[in-house]
Amino acid sequence: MTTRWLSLFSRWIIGLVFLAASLPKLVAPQDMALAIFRYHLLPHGLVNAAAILLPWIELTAAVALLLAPAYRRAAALLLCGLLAAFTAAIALDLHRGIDIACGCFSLKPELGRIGALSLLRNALLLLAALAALAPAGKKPCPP
Amino acid sequence: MKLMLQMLALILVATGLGAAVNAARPGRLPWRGDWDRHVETRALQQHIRLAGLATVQRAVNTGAPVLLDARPAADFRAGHLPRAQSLPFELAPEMLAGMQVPLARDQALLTYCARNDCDEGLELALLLRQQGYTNVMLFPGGLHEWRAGGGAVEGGL
Repeated sequence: MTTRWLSLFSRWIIGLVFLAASLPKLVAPQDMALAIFRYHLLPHGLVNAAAILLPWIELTAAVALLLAPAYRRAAALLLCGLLAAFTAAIALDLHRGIDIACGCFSLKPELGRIGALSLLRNALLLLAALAALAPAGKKPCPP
Repeated sequence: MKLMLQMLALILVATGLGAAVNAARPGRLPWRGDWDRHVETRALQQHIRLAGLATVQRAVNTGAPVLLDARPAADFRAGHLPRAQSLPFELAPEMLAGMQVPLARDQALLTYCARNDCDEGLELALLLRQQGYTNVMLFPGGLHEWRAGGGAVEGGL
């Protein structure tokens, strides 16, 4: 029972977080491209493609997680992968001493610089995504 | 296997939506951008360090590193970062030679121009390094990013 509630709670948290994160990126792909570029991790030929597709992958996975029970685990796994990749990118740039905006929930360069707090936040979200990935528990057998 | 196929399906749906919306958008983003010529790429290729807002804020508060505005003098007069000195890129060699208080060769210097699509800041940084200044950084976001962050501007009306 507890596992089911934890899984449900985590699913809604992760779903809503990614839904909110995808919207500003969908509206301003140019700003998204600049935010990705500034990590200086992707080959330049892939920066725009990532800016066009990443927000839609976030949105599609979030909607599937919340509203499509058959695709729930696939969506949770996809979001785990995204979170792991984002966290690695932040950690790598912090290690390289690059001071940039996260581009996580807002694309304004003055908001949300990468730092230890963004790593901590991503780690917590990753835990929640893993909890959402867990099976929702067995339903009670019919009498 | 089923999980993998479902993930692939989600990615395909997202790709289709992304491509369709981008194609229909008035100012659509090209799939390949010309990032090789972007000022930040060129700066990193030339081993010029990039500064973020935190470093600029420190420069405004403490005077170190020294802020150098690479834009034309008229733009500087219309508004510039607090504590910045005007050093228009085109006039820099003469102005450096004529400075009453010359900059030390190892002094931390931070150049900037209007925004991330101008290159006077980078050109000035390269010129300074060529002239023997060893600690030169570039603030690629320029005055635009400083203003967007709520930073005060000196000069102007």
